[in-house]
Amino acid sequence: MRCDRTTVLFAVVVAVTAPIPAPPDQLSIPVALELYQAGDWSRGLKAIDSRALTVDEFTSTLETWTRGTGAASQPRGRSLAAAFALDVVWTATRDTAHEDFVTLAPGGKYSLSDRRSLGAVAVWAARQMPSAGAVTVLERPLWLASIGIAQDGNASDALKRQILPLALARLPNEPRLRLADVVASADLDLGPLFPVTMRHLNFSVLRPEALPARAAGHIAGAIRSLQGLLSEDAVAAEVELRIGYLELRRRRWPEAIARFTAVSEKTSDPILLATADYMAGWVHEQAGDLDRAIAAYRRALALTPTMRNLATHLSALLFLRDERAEAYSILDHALNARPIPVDLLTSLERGDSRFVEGWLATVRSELRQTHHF
Amino acid sequence: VGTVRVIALATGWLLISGALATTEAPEGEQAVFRARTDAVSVNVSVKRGRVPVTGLSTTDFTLTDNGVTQTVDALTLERVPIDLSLVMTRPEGPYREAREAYFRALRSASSVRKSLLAHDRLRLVSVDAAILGRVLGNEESLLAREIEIQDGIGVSVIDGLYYAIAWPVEPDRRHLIVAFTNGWDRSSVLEKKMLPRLAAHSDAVLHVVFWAKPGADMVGIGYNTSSSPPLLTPWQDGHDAVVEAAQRTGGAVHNATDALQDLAAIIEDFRTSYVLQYTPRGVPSPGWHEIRVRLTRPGKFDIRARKGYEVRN
Repeated sequence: MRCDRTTVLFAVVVAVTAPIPAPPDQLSIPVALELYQAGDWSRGLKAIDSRALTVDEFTSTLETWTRGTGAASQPRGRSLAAAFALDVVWTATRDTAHEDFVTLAPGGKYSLSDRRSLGAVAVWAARQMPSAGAVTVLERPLWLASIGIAQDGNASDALKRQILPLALARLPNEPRLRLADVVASADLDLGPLFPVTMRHLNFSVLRPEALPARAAGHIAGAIRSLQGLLSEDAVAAEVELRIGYLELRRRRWPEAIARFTAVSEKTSDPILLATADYMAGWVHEQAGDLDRAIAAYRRALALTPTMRNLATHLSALLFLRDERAEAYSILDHALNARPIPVDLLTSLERGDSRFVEGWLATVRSELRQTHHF
Repeated sequence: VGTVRVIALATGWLLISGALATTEAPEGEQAVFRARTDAVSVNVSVKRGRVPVTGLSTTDFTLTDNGVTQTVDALTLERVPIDLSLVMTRPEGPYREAREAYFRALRSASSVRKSLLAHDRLRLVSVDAAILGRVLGNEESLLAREIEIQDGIGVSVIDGLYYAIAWPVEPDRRHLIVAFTNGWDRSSVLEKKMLPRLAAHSDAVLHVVFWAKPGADMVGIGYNTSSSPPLLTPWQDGHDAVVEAAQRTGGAVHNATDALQDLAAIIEDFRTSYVLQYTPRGVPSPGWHEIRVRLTRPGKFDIRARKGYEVRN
């Protein structure tokens, strides 16, 4: 059974107003898990002191809990622990900027609030998932959430080698998993979109230094792999976008534009549409077609009016065309936007992470429906 | 003449549609001039040593556009209100020397109000990873305002300077930009080569005060001349783009030996600069137009004017 937003809101209201005793300030992990299991996921998740816990401490405590309660021998109990772990690490890292990737804790250990923990917890959660038997309703959103969480943590290696083999063994025909597999392979071959040393900066991948020509051979291979997914309607638009981006990286402007145009024919997803137009604008700009560049940037900006990188590109072109009032207005609006939106292109880098909130909500709903809560 | 000057500033140096013509003024109203198709305005600073040269007329100037001598239609030297945009690009990282150099410049710059007149406006543009700009109130401390701004990681010098350049200034005002920077930029969206192009399209005059330079010392970003080329090359590129942008507007580059003195001199220089207006003749419109200004008078003068302008096809 799927969970809509109203159901989730209702559940939250019920949970918050239910006569559950107020927890102490610092709860142990098992108590937090009990709260989570009781449907009070909000307080359960917030009760974890994520900055004081390392990933190892967190996951080993969860393992102790599952063994102690007998849940370890039950797929449902292990799935509950996996869901809780994913929810905790996702919540703990929402306020952590990506620049925290470069702040290594002593001894190389890092806390749950460090974004590197996303990949590690996703791997742990994947190992808790059933490996045999019929696929449960809970499994799909759990696998998808773990994929998105690992992508948010830029954990391509862990995804490719540890998570996706397990996930695809269970859901071999799931288009998003297959796309994630191709994307992880491409990341490993081509390098990340955002070089690690640049990840903490406002680094637009649409810059020459982010388009290394050395990867041309690997790009062709990645495009071939992606083309195999074009027949999957669920991901076809994103596949077009990713192929277009790879064509852009090897500076084949007409091929890139054709892909970006195809995106608009295959989806109404504003993120994909805006990203396609943003990149199309950049390609037109490189090709010297400023009118088309401006038109494409305008379409993208209509969908994401405060995107700084996009607004800056458009503003500069308008200024060169002496449309100065609008040039300044667009730029000023974007620069003053708070919180600062991430670049559209992070939708490519972080893949399915933008869906994680929804999948985790579905997981909670399924847990409730199956009487885990 | 004053009216013409105001319109010249309104139109800027770039091409505006319409033809220059004196309109029939309704009874009781002053005659006004309409913008012309190809009016170009050029800020020109003329000094002998450190002293501005005043009292010049149109016949004292020779102006060429792509090598073709032009007739200067109008010349003004008038104390009109200034919009001063002070761009402060912050040092990246925790390097003590860089921060000390930056705050020395900032403390000096905070006294800039002494050089401003009643109707002038002061706008502060603070640049790190984020870019924030606003006009300060008369009593507002520049120093306090700057310190409020949250530290970011990365510095967007190119984007920040473009933001300053793009500031829309009313027709009856002139725009002066003074940037205190080291040119170190790793996080701008715009490519470095874009800045000179954008500057060439601007009506503003950009001066740059470097509180650190690549290769000269290590206060800029904490790296010295033995740092690896991957670090120094982008720094040098950023520095060079900023220098070229300043030159294209008719501004200049300064070293921050005494930021306050630099700033006062820059403002005074700007106030005493001439605005020449001419209609390009005998030169094809599209493309880059190189402007050269000389004096017909004998003697040694320091003449600074914008390097040219670009006309899109």
